[in-house]
Amino acid sequence: MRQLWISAAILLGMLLLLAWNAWYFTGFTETLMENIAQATAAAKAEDWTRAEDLSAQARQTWQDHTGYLQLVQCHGDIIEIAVLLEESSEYLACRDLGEYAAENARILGAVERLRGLERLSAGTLF
Amino acid sequence: MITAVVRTVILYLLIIVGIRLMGKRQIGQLEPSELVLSLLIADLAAVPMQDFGIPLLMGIIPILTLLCLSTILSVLTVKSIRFRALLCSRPSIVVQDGQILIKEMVKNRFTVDELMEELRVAGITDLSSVKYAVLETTGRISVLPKAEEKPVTVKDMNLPVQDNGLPVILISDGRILSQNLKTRNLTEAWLKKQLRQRNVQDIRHVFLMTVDEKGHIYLAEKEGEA
Repeated sequence: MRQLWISAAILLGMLLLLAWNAWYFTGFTETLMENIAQATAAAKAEDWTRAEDLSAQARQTWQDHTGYLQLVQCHGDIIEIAVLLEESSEYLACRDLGEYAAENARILGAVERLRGLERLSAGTLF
Repeated sequence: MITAVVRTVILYLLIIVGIRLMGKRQIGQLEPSELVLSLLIADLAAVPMQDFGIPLLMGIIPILTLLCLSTILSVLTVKSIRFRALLCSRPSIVVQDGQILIKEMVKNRFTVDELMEELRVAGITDLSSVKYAVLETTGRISVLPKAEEKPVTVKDMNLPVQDNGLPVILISDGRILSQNLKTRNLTEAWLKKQLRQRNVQDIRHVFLMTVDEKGHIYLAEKEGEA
């Protein structure tokens, strides 16, 4: 019976850890997505300084979590979003609103896809 | 590429632990759930070994989950006969008193060719000499011949026979296994004396040395050093 309880404890521990991971990942990406959405709105209102600040914050948030992300996400996905963030900052520097907004939409889509994979849903199960 | 080596070592060690937890069974004797486990683990481990873009946790977590589930299921099968029957099914008698039980064969989707093959492997060529042939849950056939067909034993012939018991290994590949010496209440001095009597000067020249409960010694020296 000892083996049974140890196995059950390991399983439960893993579930709790993964639940925590899902909560944490959803939390910090929520902040990142808000920053990007607000940056797009600021750019549309031609408040470029605020847009730059918010974009820089979003980039920094993603970079700060690189070590953690490499443990829990596919490296291709991490790099893809990092590249998209850099591209969007370049479009912002050029004051190209159309491309900037489109790039931000792509970033939001990519991040939302990763968030979706962390959620237990019919879509991910089946 | 060094990543490939490190990942492979980590996953390999994890799988070794898993196989160790499955207990002392050979592949041919695995229950269906254990066979599934082996196949799944092999596949799960291969993906992060080859694709460095996938985090190692994506291989380790499913493997750990499977190992835990397997351990839980195996403990439950030990504790509960019903659960065991549900997971592993029950052995089926397919031959009784020389007669093939066709219903059982059909129920287990076991063909006559497979039956004859298993009987031949068991040294049986005449079905009428079989008392029982049992299709085990592992898919193997256990054969019980009729009493009159069984090989004669020493007991049947009322002959006195010496039981030498279980031999233990004293030297393996040039190294003394002190624990085994202790279990037989033997000493290194005795061991060295036995080797001298057999013209072996150095323990390192011995590949294998065993002694049974009656004190009979088997000695194999390393090739080229005899």
